[in-house]
Amino acid sequence: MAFDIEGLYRTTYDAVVRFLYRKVWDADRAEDLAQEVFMRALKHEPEKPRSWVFAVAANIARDEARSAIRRRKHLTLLTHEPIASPAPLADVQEDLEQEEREAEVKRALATLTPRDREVLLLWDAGLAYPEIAEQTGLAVGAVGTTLARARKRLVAAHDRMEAQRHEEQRAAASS
Amino acid sequence: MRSSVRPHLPEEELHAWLDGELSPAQRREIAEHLLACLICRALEAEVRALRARSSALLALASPARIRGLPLPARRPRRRLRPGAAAAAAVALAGGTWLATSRPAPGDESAPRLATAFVAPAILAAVSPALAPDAQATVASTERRTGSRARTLTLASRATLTPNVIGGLTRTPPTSISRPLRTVDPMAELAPSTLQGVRWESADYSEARQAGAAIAHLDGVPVSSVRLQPSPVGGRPTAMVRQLLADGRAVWVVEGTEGEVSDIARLLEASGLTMSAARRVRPDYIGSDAEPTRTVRVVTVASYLPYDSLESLTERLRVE
Repeated sequence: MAFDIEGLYRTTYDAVVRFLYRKVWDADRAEDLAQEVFMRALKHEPEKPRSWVFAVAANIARDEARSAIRRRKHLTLLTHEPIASPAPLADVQEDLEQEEREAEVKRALATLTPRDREVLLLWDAGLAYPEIAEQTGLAVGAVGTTLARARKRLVAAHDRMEAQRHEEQRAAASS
Repeated sequence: MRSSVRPHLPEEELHAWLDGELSPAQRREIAEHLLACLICRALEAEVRALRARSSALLALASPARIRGLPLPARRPRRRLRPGAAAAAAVALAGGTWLATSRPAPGDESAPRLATAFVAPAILAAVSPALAPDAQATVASTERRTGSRARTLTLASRATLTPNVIGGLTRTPPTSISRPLRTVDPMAELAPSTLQGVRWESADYSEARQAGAAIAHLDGVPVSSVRLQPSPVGGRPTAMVRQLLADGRAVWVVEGTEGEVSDIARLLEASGLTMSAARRVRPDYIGSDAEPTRTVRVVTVASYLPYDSLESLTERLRVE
């Protein structure tokens, strides 16, 4: 069968962006990297394209993380520039809330072991157990166990943060 | 030979099950176990809720452009049947549920297995007049997804524990305009009563020949027998009407758990008191190479107070 880049793009592009985003935490960067993944796919015409794009995405994200550490000092200066055109207050409020919610998920994800996190993100990206097993080197039978643990830890970590936040809010209100 | 008592399902197996990653044989085994085991059904609801929450959390961490978009479409599994949407209806119709329903992996809109156990929800959907308070409960609890697990557990328990309507523990709601009347449930089991379910009259010896495990009260004359042939090749469901010495009728129902719960709802709507359902000999359907075990239960119904009925069940015989 001919390599169907269009079909692959249509069915997995957003999932790849999402997957990358949860690694680099920057929407534009995630889109850029996803483009890069699909450019490589076009060149390689992989046999198992779905598994392949996520494997490449994981590698790219890892490289990105390394170079991001080097860049971080410069970026910190840049991101503190004032915003040019202020958005309506309601939107800002909503954005802030979304940012806050996302930051909590990010921190909750950070409490997972790298392997648990990877399995969870790959599952959420739409890969099946055998595909996840292939990519992570786990036995297929271990994927369910890993996923069960990852889900539980993510939710538990998030619950802890929520509880903590409520605690802080209560303390702030009473003082 | 397979043991009739399986240890409880491991959590990861339920994850894999809900994720649609198990073989048909594994799935069937889990479905069977869930039918028989309230503890695992509660765990299944928990895992389902955990799974949904973890996905919802991850969905929050998405770039703005695709945040609102539906989650990535999972590649359709080869085992996924398009008929999954019929599962709830099938569960309602009776014992074919085990043989035909499949979990729909990743498809959040598909009916969930657990909903098949939410008797009040199903009952309310079919006939709101029969379960006004159950309907209200379901409506108010479904909105709060956090309480779903508990709701499911309680609701699923309700299908198995005695339904005491008009008995000792619960007075019939007076707000229902339909007066409780003494009816013969046998008459209600006319061939057209339950959709897709045919009840046939039989005499005792015919029923025995059909292979029905004629559950009955020992030493009480049998007045009539109704059989509902199994659509999936199992033993028929049997309803035996017996007359007590004082002329009052008692009905003994034996069949798969699903069928008996459906009948129980029907009887309950007629104002009958039901005894607690008891497990009886399981049935094996399907090919000999890969038989599916179905759980069968027996219950006794009558216009009697609950504890009188329970004492009657001491005379229960299942052949």
